[in-house]
Amino acid sequence: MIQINNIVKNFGDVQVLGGLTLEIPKGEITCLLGASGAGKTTLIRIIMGALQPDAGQVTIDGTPMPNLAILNRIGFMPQDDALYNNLTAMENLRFYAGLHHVGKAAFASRAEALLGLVGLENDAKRMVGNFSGGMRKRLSLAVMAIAEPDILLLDEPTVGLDPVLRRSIWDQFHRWRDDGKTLIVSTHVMDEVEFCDRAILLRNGQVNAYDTVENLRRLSPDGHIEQLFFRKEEPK
Amino acid sequence: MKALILRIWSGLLHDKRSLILMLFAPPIIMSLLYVLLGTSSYEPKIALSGMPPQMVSQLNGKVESISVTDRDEREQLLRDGTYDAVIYLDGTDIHIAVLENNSKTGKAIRSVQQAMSDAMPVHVVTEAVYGSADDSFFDSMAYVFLALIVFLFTFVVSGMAVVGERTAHTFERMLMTPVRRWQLIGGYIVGYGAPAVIQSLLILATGLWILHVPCAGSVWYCLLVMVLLALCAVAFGTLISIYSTSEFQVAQFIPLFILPQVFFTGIIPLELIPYGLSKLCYIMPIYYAAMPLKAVMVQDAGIADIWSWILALIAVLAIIFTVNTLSLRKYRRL
Repeated sequence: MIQINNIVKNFGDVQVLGGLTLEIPKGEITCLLGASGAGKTTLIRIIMGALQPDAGQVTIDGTPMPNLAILNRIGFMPQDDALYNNLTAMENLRFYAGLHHVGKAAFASRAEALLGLVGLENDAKRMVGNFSGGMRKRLSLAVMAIAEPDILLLDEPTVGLDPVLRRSIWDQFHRWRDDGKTLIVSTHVMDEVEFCDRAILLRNGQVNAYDTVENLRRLSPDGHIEQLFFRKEEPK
Repeated sequence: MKALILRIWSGLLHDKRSLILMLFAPPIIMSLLYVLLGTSSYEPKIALSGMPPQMVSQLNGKVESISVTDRDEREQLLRDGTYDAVIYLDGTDIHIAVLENNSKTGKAIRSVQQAMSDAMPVHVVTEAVYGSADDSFFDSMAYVFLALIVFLFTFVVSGMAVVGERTAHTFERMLMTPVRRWQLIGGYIVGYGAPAVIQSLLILATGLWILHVPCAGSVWYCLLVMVLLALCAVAFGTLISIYSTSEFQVAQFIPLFILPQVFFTGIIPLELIPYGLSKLCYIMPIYYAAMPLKAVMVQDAGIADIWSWILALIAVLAIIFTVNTLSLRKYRRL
């Protein structure tokens, strides 16, 4: 379980997160929904400890973050692909696997399976610098999964992907969820909330609403969750 | 750490142009300096006006007798480059008129002084304990260039590489794995240190065997010092990179950190540096390499003479390593 306690983060005089308190359960897909600038990326970075909050604390299974043992269980897919252009797809995978101490035999079978999953099985030896945006996104997803993490933090994983690929990636997210993994997926595409179990609606660094998708749909006047962004205040 | 080292090496191997630049640029610069600063065959053009004839015969080079008494006319001859120096008598004083102070007029002045000393019954002979009289400027300063070229080239590579990772966001992704901060710095130093060692080898080999730079002592001590300096430069480049937010800033840090180092390599004797600024040498990594390099190459120093410098270099490396590891806290608290 991921516990977020009263997290405050300012960049200069701008408050990006204003005292967030949330509990994210295990084994579910939780969607971070909000416009750009709402604080989605900042929250993800604070959860794993890439950013130090100005106040508050994040604990994962009771351990305060950042923590090396927990980091080994986290798979992070940043918004920018964060791949090495001067390496091949396979070399990129091998590097991140090495940082997670994945053994040679385990790596070989996982790399093959993951590259197949993201449809890059024929591009393993090509330089990433020559990849298209979609290919980079897919490789980045494979990199995220190479250490078989059980906590997946995905920052806008489907942005810029075609609908078919987007659908197949969400199917994979569901399979991972069914395997017991915890997924936190940020998105600004409202309809993706339908694929999630829970949703956090972020607006100007505040939680606008946080509940299961089912309950949120019931709360909104017309069944569309995005309507909740227009509410004046949050009902207790 | 192994993963990081292998990644750096595969990246370099894929980037053929950078690899070629890394390997060939330093020896090329070294050779260029050799030609530029080596012995030149230029003979100064000297004019004598109203001088005794034995003086004229003593002067070698392009010497001509002229008869000019007017100051303006004399200056015009210097200005339009007809002569590098005009020598004339004014009462009992011999005047050497030159256009400005530069190495060409310096050469003219020296040849005049040499001629006059030859004409005297007592001769002045300069003796140096180390080196020989026909060493060119490049030969006697070779240790400076060895140290500088190694430092500059390795510094630039690591400095750019780390900040490049930051702008590509791979740096944060790497930190979000259970890698330890010291492993990361160690990986960079070994990863970029290995090509730096090859660079040092190439520069040293170019200097000693192609350019025939005189080296009184052991080549192995030179190599040891240069390798340690290269590792310091890699670590130093990484440090600059951690505190820069763009390649542009790294590029600006290069003159800021490299130029002052030049003056503490021995190119100017430390005693000549005013206002106690010579004390700054202690914070210049290159100082700890240039001094033992000079000792070995010029004075045939052995390990007994340079071990304290070697220890100092290792200490510098350890200090920069530690500062690097602590600086990474900026990006991840543990």
